[in-house]
Order: sequence, then C-alpha cells, then structure tokens
Amino acid sequence: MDEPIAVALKFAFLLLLFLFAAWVVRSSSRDLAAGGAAGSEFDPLLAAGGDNAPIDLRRGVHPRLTVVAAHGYEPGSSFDLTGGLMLGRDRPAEVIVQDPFASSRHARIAPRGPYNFLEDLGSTNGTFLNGARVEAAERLAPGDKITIGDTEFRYEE
Amino acid sequence: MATGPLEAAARLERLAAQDGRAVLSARNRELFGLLPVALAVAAGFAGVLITREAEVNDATLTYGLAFLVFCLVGHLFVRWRLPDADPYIYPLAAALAGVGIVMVYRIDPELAREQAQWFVFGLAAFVAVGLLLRDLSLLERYRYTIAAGAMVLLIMPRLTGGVTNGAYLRIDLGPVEFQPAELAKIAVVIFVAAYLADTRELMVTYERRFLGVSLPPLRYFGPMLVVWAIAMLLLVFIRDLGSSVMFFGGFLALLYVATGRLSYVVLGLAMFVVGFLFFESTVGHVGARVDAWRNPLDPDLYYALGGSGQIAQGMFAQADGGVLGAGLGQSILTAGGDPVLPAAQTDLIYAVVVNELGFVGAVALLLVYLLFVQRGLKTAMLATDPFNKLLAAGLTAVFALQVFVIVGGVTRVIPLTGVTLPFVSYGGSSIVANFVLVGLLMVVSDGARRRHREGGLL
Repeated sequence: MDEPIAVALKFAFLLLLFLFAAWVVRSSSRDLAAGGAAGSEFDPLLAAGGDNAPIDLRRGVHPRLTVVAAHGYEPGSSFDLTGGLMLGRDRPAEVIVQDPFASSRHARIAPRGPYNFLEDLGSTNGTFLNGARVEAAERLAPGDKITIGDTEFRYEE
Repeated sequence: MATGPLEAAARLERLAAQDGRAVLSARNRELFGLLPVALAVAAGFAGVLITREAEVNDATLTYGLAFLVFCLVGHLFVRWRLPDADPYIYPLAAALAGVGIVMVYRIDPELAREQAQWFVFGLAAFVAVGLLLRDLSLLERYRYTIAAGAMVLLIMPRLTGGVTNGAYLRIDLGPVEFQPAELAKIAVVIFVAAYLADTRELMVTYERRFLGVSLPPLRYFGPMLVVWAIAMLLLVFIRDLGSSVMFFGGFLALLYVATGRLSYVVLGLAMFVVGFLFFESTVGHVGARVDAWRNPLDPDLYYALGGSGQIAQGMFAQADGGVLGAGLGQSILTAGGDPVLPAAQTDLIYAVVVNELGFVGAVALLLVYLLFVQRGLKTAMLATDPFNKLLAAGLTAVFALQVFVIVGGVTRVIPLTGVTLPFVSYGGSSIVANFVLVGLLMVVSDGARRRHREGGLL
C-alpha cells in the first residue's frame, strides 16, 4: 500500500528525528564553545585556570608555593605560581603530591583578578588552609599554610 | 537539504535570544528541543492512523497529545527545581519516549494507552527524584541499605515465581507485575559508585603487581568478587543473561572510571567470560540461548518452544525493512491470530522499528541513544564530587549497555535476552526506572553546571 500521505508522514517523522539529533549536536557544541576553551570539554577545572590567566597580580609580586614537607621534594624549594598550578597525585598536576590522602587532581591555585585563590577540586580527603577545610575558593595571603594529608606547603609572595 | 533547516533552526534560536547574538538560555534550549520531538510524534501518530484506520480510533490519539502535555509538565518542573541541568538530556529522553509511544501505538493502541499511564508514573518518579534528592550524599550514606534492597529485589522473582521465557523476571503484585531488574540496575550503580568514591584512591595506591598485572589489594578485591557473584547469580538462578551483562559491564565501566586501570577491566572481563563459559556448558538454559543465537535457522531450534523462532523472525522483519522501511503501520505482526513477532512491544520492538522505518530509522534511533549517552558522560565529566561523577558515569554506562544488550540481541551480535529498549519498549517498570535514571543524571548535572556557572566557566 503506497498511500502518498502515509509515505510523506513517515519521511517527516524520520526527517524530524534527524533534524532534532543534528540540532542537539550543533547546539551542544556551542554550549561547550560558550564555556571557553575547547579543552574545557576534557578538563574544565584545568582549562579554567588557563582561561582566567594570566594574572593581573600586582606588579613586583612573585607568588610562590614553598615546600614545607612533601615526599619527593626538598623542603624550602618552591614553585612559581604565575598563571596558577594544580596539585595532585598524578599528571597532569604540576605539583605531584605523593601522599595516600591526595586525589589525582586534588587542588588548584589560580589567580582571579589581583589575587591568588586556593580551590579544592572535589578531592576525597580535602584540602586545608591554615587548618580549616577548604570548601569554596579561598583567597591566599602570604604565609598561608596549605595542607593535603601529611603534605604541607606555604604560600608566599 | 540538511543545512537549510538547520540554519533556520539556528536563526530561530538567535531570534528567540534577547540580544540577537547570544545563544538561548539552557532551559529555553530544552523547550526548543521539545519542538521537533512534538512534531515527530504528531507525524508518527498521523502516519499510523492513516494506514491503520480500521484498527485504531481517534480517541486513542488523545494519548499522543497527553504525551506532549507530560513533556511540558516535566519541563516546567525542571525549570523550577533543576534550572542548571543539562538542557539536552530531557529532550533526548522525550524523543526516545516519543518514538516508543508511536511504535507501541502502532502495535496495539490499548498498550499505548497503558504506556501513557506509565509515563505519568515515570514523570512522578522523576519529580520525586528532583524534589527529594537535591543532596545526593543521601544516596551515598545509605549505600548498604540500597545494595541490600537491590539483592532482595533481584531474588524476589525466583521466590514468587514469575517466569517469562524461562527467566525469573517478574514479581506479581496483584493487578500489576513488576520487573525488579530495572530498578536494581540503578541501585547497584549507586552502591558501586559510593563504594569506589571512597576506595579508589586506596585501590590504586596500594595495588600490587602479580605476573606483570596490576591487581587491587586483596582487601578491596572482595567487593569486586561480590559483584561478580551477583552477575553469576543472575545468570544461573534468575536466568537473566541480559541483566547479568548489564550489571557487570556497568561495574567494570565504573571501576575503570574510578581507577583508570585497564588491567582491572581486563581481569573482570576474563572472570566474566570464564564464568559464562562454565555455565554455558553446565546449565541448560544458558546453553540453549547460545545455541539459538548461533543457529537460529536450524529447523529443530526454530520450531522448539522458546527456541530460535523469535530471533529468526526478528531478523526477517529487519531484512524486510530495507533502507527506508515498509512504512508506519505496515509490518506484519500477526498471521491468522498467531503472533509472527513474539514480544513485539518489548524485546523485539527494535525489529519493528527497523521493519517500518528501515535502516534510516534505526540510525536515527541509535543516534538519539548515542547523544543521550554523550550527554550523560559529559555530565560525569563536569561533576567534581567523586560520588556524583561516578554515579553519572555508571548510570550512563548501564543505560548504554542495556541498549547494546537488546539491540545486539535482536541483530544477533550477542544471544538475545529479554531486557527492554530504554524508553521505547512497552513496560511500566522500565519506564519508571529510566525516568528515575534521567532524574538522577539531571540532579548531578544541575549541581555540576551551577558550580561551573558560578565559577564563571559556563
């Protein structure tokens, strides 16, 4: 039975389904594009650091993260914080925290405006700033103590 | 052709947005996405009506309209309670449900009426999830209760005895029957996600190497064995190969997401295959399923009760569909009162879709499933809390595996087993459970996307 209207309706049904799927693909890719870097698709937290950078830190200031106690690093050595850093147990974290309480992507230090902020990346065991657990992003001041498990860093400018 | 209407859609989207350039807000995009779904459902119903005037009446068409009303009610709820949730998950689920109700309507208008009622229950479950579970840590806390509940649910059919095609799938509750595996899949994902969110770090930190393969520490290996045992239990006592594959596959996916260790997955797969091969040769019904899968056209198997007749008929129906399909309402489901396609509205609904809408229709349907899975994984990627991340990944994995198990079964990639095609097949438990699944995904997505929006990332 080849009723033309029935055939037309079938094709309309199929066409609408395909158009719908195409719209989802297009619109959702723009949803990501609106989020900034394409990399945010794979690691929104990491890419966000790059996005907000660089850094309108006050002139003459050199933010550093100094090791107080961290397995594998010399105490007193420090990391340059220009542009932000990620702390975690594995790559792609820049500061590798060899601590059983560290998550692979544990915490991030990133500049917002003229200041650096410490943010926990949903780690299992938490990040502590001067002994208090970090819930939202916290502004860092020179001398602040950052603790992950038994690992400890000091923020300096 | 394809770009013309798309450009028009993009223009419409831009017009609707206030400043003429910005994209629509997430919720408006969701509403916009329901538009083609609504039109497709209308076209589908009209197509079935025209070809099958004799059997269907206009009154049942109101259930098609009711379906669209449900879609809008759900959308308004999302606007109110989950304003930051992913805007594509809901329309994608609606598209699947739309294809489903058109096909079920075509198979039996009475069933479509019941299916529409199930949508009401499903939507109620969706709303309940959105209202009660704003804080998913509740699920994390009651993980053992939920796991125990899942076990009881799975064992129940064996005790009360509801046999479908040789598998214990149903619990009879007076007027309604209930398929516990559908809800149990969500419960198992919640449990495994909660467990792994806690132990994944330790599993990786204290892993050992044995014969060059990384193994999780023995202490954490135990629960893995328990899940394996559940999968085997399903296989042998409940006789539900499909759910067995779904549960264990979902578990392995979660294990991989949580630890990033491919070796654990290979190990788990090896355990499953060994278990399966053992039971295939020792337990009759598992072997029978495999025989029917390998030789569906063998006359002895074809005419045997519970043999390969269903698989073979499904293959004929799909072959008959060709590229563009026979047309809505054109497939032959009964001959002289006997069903040609057994369980057309549940197990074999994919074969009916291919028969009537052809290869092109099958591609459209699978594309919508793929996009749904993509949004689910995207949600998992955006979530920062480990439990939420694993929950979204796990729910998406079991959903994808369920589609694979039934579509793979009907297309004879793997032995055919009776799981439903999510949102498309007829069936109350399936619809309700999948609405719960979508609800959970959207709660995770809402939290994750709000966090990102407030962080200025989205």
